[in-house]
Amino acid sequence: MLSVENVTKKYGSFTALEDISLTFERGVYGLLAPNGAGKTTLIKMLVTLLFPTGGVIRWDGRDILSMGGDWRGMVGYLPQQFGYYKSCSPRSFMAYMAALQCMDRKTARPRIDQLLDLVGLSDVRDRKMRAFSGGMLQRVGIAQAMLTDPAVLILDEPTAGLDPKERVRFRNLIHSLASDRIVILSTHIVSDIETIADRIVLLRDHKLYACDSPASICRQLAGKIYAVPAGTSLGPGDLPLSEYQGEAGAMVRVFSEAPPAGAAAVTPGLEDAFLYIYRDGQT
Amino acid sequence: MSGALIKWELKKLWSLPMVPIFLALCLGLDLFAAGITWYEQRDAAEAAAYIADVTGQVGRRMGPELDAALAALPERPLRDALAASVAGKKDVYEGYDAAWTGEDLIRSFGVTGPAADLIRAKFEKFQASVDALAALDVSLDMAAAYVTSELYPHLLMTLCRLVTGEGLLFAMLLALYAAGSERVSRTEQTVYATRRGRAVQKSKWAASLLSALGSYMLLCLVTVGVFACLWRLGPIWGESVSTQFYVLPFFGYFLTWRPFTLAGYLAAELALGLGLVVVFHSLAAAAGLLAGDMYRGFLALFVLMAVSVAGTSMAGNAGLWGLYLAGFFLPTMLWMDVGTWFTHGQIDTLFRDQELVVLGLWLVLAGLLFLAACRRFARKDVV
Ligand SMILES: Nc1ncnc2c1ncn2[C@@H]1O[C@H](COP(=O)(O)OP(=O)(O)OP(=O)(O)O)[C@@H](O)[C@H]1O
Ligand SMILES: [Mg+2]
Repeated sequence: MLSVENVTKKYGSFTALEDISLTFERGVYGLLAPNGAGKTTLIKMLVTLLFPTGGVIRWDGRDILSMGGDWRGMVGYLPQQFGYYKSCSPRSFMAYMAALQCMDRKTARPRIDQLLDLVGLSDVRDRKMRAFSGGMLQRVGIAQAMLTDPAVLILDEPTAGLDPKERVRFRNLIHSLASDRIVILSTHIVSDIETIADRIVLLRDHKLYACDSPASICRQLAGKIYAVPAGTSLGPGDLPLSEYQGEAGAMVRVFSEAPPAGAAAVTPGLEDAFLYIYRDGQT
Repeated sequence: MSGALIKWELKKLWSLPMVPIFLALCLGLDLFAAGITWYEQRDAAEAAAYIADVTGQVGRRMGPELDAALAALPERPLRDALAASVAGKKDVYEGYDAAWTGEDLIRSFGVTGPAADLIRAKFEKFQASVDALAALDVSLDMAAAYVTSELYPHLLMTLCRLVTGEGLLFAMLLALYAAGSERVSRTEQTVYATRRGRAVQKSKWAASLLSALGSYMLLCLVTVGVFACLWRLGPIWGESVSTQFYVLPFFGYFLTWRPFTLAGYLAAELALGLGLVVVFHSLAAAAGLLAGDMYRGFLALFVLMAVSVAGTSMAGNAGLWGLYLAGFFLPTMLWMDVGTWFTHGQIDTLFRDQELVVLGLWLVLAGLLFLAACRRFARKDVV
């Protein structure tokens, strides 16, 4: 079990995260928050790239900082900006990562081929990554994160740059992987996690806002989301969330305590919750 | 530090085009420097080859016997020139007063105060070494005779300065690159979040050190090899480097604390250079880690080195002799004295084997500095 206990991170005088307490057990955790909310900051502390200004992170009661390499060896990590060696092939890049993970060559080799196959890169595994598209690189990144079959898989915006097919494939993959490990992933894309996350972690004002299942986050808005045709005049307490093209023309989803005239109640989705929670440009 | 990782880091280092290109440029420069001097001094080279050749027949020790043996050789201009240059040579180290040399140097450089006393004391101790050299009659070694004063500085100063300088520069660049490459390729986060983590810097240190040492040895080997092919010195290699023909301006006879042959001195000089390569490599690796960026690390290192050299020479000009002498305990100033290592050290050193003491000191200091930099780095945010 991974627990974050009263963790604060400051960059100079700027507080990026304040007094975060969370526990992670088996399953998928989605970090869902706007740009600049501190997702990457939290994730980097989990992989010991950043050191908390206050508080402690523990794995089964042990401080991960004192565990050092033992901790990092249990973690697979895909950074938000996944850098790579341009003149390296995915295979040799993975072999280098395996050496850094202190895996021996005999176990690493088949594992690398298997992973590259899993992310659909078998055909190009010996090609230089210089010529890869953004999505292909991202898949190399996902593969390297899983190299050690980690107990904790931490992915910072793993689906950025993936096409819809890969995105679905990735979602399925994460879902299957999460049965016996912790998967923590950050994203802005609600659909990436809506269906697979056991819990959604929401950060607001640099603090933990909620850590709950998608269903119960949505439930808080139950009966308060309505769809109205675009152009309908709204009451003072009404909050337009998003527009969409309905069968009868342009529509707006609205948060409202009392149903506006001509409105139809709709089932709140995670996106509605996201837009509602971060309604005033809050981070 | 695992062998597998060091191998990876070596591969990464040498797959960077700049690395082999820099090494090739250094080799080219060495070949050019050795070649151009030889070309300009073909006459001297021919003379040296002749001298080496006849040494086998007439012996190496100058004196009446050698003069007679030379006279018996077939007549030719080279023989006459050689005979003229060796005729009537005495053992100049017999009765040589080291204290007088010291006093002379102190006076001509204008050293004053306690520094002058320290230098005086050194030359007093140096007398025993001169006496030992005198007992061995090494001043009577013919060596390359009248060619010596051009040839030896070319080899022991110019070429050695070039090769060691290249070795040091290359070592620093390798260390800085190794320490900073993950930042450049933006792979820091991926690499430092692995089990090995930031400690991979130790493998990088080892890989760049191995590369630096290997390259330095290659530079030495090629340069000395080419020199030895161009200048056929034969038995001269085995004669004393302290022959009376080797005289340097503002320095006098090339007197050493212990006797060296030419080959032995060259080997000792290049070996000390090897030690300096290790020192500068670790200093650069530490600078790269502390600065967190190889360009800034390079700049910081460059400024420090320039300040140390300029500061020392300015201290000398300003008559701050204590500071001047202290400057020679820095690795940069140690390198500046390449070519006169293991000699009486003029007004730059204070005791026998100061070079070795300074080297040993900095091997330890640079190693500690690198370890301290690693510790700091292990606790630094990767942003
Ligand atoms: N090295 C740094 N120095 C100063 N401030 C920083 C630094 N890194 C991040 N920040 C600030 O901390 C806050 C959180 O940044 P972080 O990268 O964690 O956000 P994020 O949620 O990952 O955003 P995004 O969705 O854009 O990736 C931001 O306001 C950012 O400006
Ligand atoms: Mg981020």
